[in-house]
Amino acid sequence: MLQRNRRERVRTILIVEDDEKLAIALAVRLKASGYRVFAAYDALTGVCQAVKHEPDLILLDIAMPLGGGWSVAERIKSMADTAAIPIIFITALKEPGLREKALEKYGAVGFLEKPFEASDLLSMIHEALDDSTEVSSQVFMESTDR
Amino acid sequence: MKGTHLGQTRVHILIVDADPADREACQRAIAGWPDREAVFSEVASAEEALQLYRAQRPDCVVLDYQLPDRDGLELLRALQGEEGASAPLPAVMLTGHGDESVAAEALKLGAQDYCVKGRITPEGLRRAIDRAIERVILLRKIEAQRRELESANEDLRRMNGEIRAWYCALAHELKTPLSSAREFLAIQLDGLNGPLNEQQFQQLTLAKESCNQLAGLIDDLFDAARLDTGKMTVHPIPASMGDIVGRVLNSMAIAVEDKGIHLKCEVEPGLPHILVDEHLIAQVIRNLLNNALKSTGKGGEVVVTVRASGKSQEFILVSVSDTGCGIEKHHLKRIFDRLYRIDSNGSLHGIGLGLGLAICRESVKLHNGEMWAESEPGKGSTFSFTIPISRGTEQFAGDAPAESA
Repeated sequence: MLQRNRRERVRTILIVEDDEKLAIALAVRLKASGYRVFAAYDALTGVCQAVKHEPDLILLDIAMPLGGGWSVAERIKSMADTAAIPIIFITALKEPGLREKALEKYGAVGFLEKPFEASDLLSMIHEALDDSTEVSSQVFMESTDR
Repeated sequence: MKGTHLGQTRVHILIVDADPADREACQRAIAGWPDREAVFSEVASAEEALQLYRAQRPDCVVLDYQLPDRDGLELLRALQGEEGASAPLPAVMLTGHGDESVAAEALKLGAQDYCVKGRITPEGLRRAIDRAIERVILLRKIEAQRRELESANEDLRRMNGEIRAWYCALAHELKTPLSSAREFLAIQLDGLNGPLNEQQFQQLTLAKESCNQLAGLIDDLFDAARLDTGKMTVHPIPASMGDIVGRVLNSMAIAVEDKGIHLKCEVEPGLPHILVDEHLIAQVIRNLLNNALKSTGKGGEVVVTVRASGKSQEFILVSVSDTGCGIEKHHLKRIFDRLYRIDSNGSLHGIGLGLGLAICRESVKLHNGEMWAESEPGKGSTFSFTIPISRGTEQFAGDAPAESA
């Protein structure tokens, strides 16, 4: 019973990022912070994963094959089951107006320019998910390694 | 003599006149032209004239105002329609005596010249035809050149866009692997894979710093490209220069401490807010500070000053002074030049892409400010820039209603 409660508290995050290496790095980081992580390496798979897992939050790259991050955000926001999932855009693009576009037009809760500090990402996620109690990475790693 | 003509010496002249005797007189006047070989077509109506013009494109049309089907002005309009609205029309109008208004209207409609019937002399008519032909040739040449220039311009604009897009792609492609490398280092440093010994920690910290440095260089490259292609835009908002400097200093406090450098900041109290792009100006200050830290050794001093300046205190002046190695005069002259780099022998430590200061100066220029450097080798350098205090925050706010009007 205790175990179930803990399971229910675990939040899931979907990483949609075509650079697999960065996706792995972010997954390591997020898992260590107690999140359950799914990853998709292109836009289309990203949308499918979002529908399938209905994650608590999506980390979304912008420049990606098979549609790009904007199209993923559009699809997710247009479907009732996924519309409320908060999105944080992460991008190595550096054009003026991208941040505004992400936050205003696509209703993202955050925007980070690569490379970014993991602490910035984590505090953005905590704020979006209203996580007051940060799960200790040690505890979680023990429970998954079980 | 023939060489004076711009175009061919053989010219095809279409005479449009209802009266055969007048057509004859016209031909006689032109025939025997010493430096032109004239070939004639004759028609009696506007309709015929139009058909022949379409089919043969004569070099010049000499037309009478009085025509049986339409008047000469209407024919001019129709001919102009054939040539296209703005193209020059090789036409000379023949008008009746005292008919200046027709002549004026004809010139307005695109005729190059006119002659008054009954007063036509061979010289006068030849001169009019000559002028009409040469002017049209000239105007066509000018038009062709204008089009050429326009298309060259268009090519340049397109290339400019392509270059910019390429730099964007380059920055993106460089930053993508950099981000994952940096994050994996951060994961080790944060101990997510277990504790590190001191040596591992130090070395991985250096590796991560190198990643940061690389990210900064990529940003510089990108900014330089944006300045080049005119895509750097300023988003000014009212801000306090003292606050901007304070924030930059805070973000660099650790680097300063690590180097054992005394950092002083002197901000004149009560300075007004100015319209600046905070991001750009913070970048300028960070760049100047980084340079100062690089050239100043342990125990040296870096002073940042923010104060009003100018005859009537119309500028905010920001200076970054160091007690570093200073810059030789011949380097100082070129220090803001794009791609100009000073190696450590030349007295500034560290090299780089030679973009940082060029970008700084451009960023300041975009704010209508100025940037300069003073230095004495061995004693230190001072880099300063000014930003005008805009008396027009009202004017700035006043833009909005004007737009909606």
